Amino acid sequence: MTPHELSIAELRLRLKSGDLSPLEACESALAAIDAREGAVAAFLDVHRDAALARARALTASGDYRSKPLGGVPVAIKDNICIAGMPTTCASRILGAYRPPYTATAVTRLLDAGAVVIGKTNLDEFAMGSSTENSAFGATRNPWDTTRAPGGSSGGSAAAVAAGMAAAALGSDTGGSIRQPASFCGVVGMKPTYGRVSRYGLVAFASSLDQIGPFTRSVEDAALVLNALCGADPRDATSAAEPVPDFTAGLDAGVRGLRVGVPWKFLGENLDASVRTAFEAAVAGARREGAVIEDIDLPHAEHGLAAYYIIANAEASANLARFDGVRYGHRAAEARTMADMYTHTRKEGFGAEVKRRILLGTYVLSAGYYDAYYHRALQVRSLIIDDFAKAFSRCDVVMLPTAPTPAFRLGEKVDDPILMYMNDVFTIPVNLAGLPGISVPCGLSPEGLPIGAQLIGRAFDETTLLRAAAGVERVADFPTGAIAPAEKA
Amino acid sequence: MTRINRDVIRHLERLARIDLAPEEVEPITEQLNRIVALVERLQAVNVDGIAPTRSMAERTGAEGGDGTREDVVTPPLDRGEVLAQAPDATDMFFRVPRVIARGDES
Repeated sequence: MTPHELSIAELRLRLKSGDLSPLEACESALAAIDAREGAVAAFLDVHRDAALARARALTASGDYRSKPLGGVPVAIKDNICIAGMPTTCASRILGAYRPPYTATAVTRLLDAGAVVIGKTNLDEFAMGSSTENSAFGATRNPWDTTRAPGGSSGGSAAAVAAGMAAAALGSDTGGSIRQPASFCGVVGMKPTYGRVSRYGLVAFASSLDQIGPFTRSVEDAALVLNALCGADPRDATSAAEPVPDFTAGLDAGVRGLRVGVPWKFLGENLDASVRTAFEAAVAGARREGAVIEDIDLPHAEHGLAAYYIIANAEASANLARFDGVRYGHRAAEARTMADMYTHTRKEGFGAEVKRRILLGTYVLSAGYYDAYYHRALQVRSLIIDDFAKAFSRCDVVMLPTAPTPAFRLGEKVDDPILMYMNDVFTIPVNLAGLPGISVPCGLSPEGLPIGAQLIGRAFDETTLLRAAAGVERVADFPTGAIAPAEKA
Repeated sequence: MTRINRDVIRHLERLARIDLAPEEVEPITEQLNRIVALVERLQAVNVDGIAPTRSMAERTGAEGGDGTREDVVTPPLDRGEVLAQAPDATDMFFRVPRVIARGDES
């Protein structure tokens, strides 16, 4: 196998033994980008020179051997800042912005020895489920380039699926890591709210946003999580919880764990191929020694509605900072300050972002606040309580990640509600602040990946990853596989 | 049921400091009405006596302890680097158009 096809665990074995250098690992990832980026369009910016320079420096110093991610090529979603490098959020409003600081999550990866190879595409400001809302064009699914990679972190998912990076960072507000992971046949994890510092992540909805990893195995997700987690004085919402070694105990798998499945919540709107793959994954977990419990999440069906109120209310406030004053685009020839704001925002934001800001403004406006926003916060409490009850009976909850496999590009982009339905199974997890992970569990008859989602107790990523490793082991999916290159 | 009409859109544009292009108004009005119809379903949920969850930090204990840190001065961002990102700036300040138009002065 060439280095770009290796898991992080395998890469590290070869790097430590001296069988492979960081420079060779970096060159291999860049070669994969050269081979497939034209068809996939995962990146907004490939940091070729910077990556090669760092890989050379690591190779020369030799200290990569002792670092947990030493020499591992990683990609970063382009709403996460790296000092001096363009950060666009896939929006025109950021113009030629180059942040003067680096996100803590990136700093931690660099401290662990990783090599950043570039910034990946996303739906503008992480608002979307297909990566078609990017101002710079859509990313395509490496398994079938006529299809969407999911979103909003579609570029990061596609980069890992196509072997262009061993791991990537994404952000997940309502499913933006887990849903594209499901569509692209990779592992995608949203840690507990508070687990990973969000300093340097451009904020979308602050009570929901969380940074997490894409990898090609559960073990690799644990390795990246080891580097990412921990309190950060620069993010007051980061948690002072102890960070264990998340790789310890993965071998135990799902044996002996109580796995709750809310069958009623799956409902009718599930694609037959997803139902088949999901039921097979549940049966596999049972064979591995899990105890399957039928549970109920009676308010989860209201998650989508509560989410579109809460997330957009928060977004309308967070995106007020893009006003043409301090960074990014400014409309030319505005005569007054007020005109400058309105023209800058008219020119800079795409349709979905405008829609969401206006909706958020509406639900917070006088006369509607109680009927919409306050009620949504109450429904959020009900959903939190549903999960609390479930976790009194089980150790993890299992759901499909998305109701369908990857859909065709253009199929849903004109119908926001149809697009929002993608996130029906992932949104409740953000509302409750819990950790969730999508693990590939099968292929549809057309050969498209399907993900199973596991949800854990707050700050119990250890049990969650253990269960995920068990599901991965029994899944009818080639673990670690790179998406096969386009058939002619 | 149309809750959001052109007048509401105009009001929201003003509040959000966003001007829609003329061709954007109709599709956004239609889509917002559909989204509002979707979120309206929450009216059917019984929320009597349920406290709202305003912050996740309360629920996860993410702010650990009392949520404060030592009051120690740390180096700020470099002023020159920050101002270099601005569309218009002096060496000390962000520069913006007049806050009040000339014709508005009395």
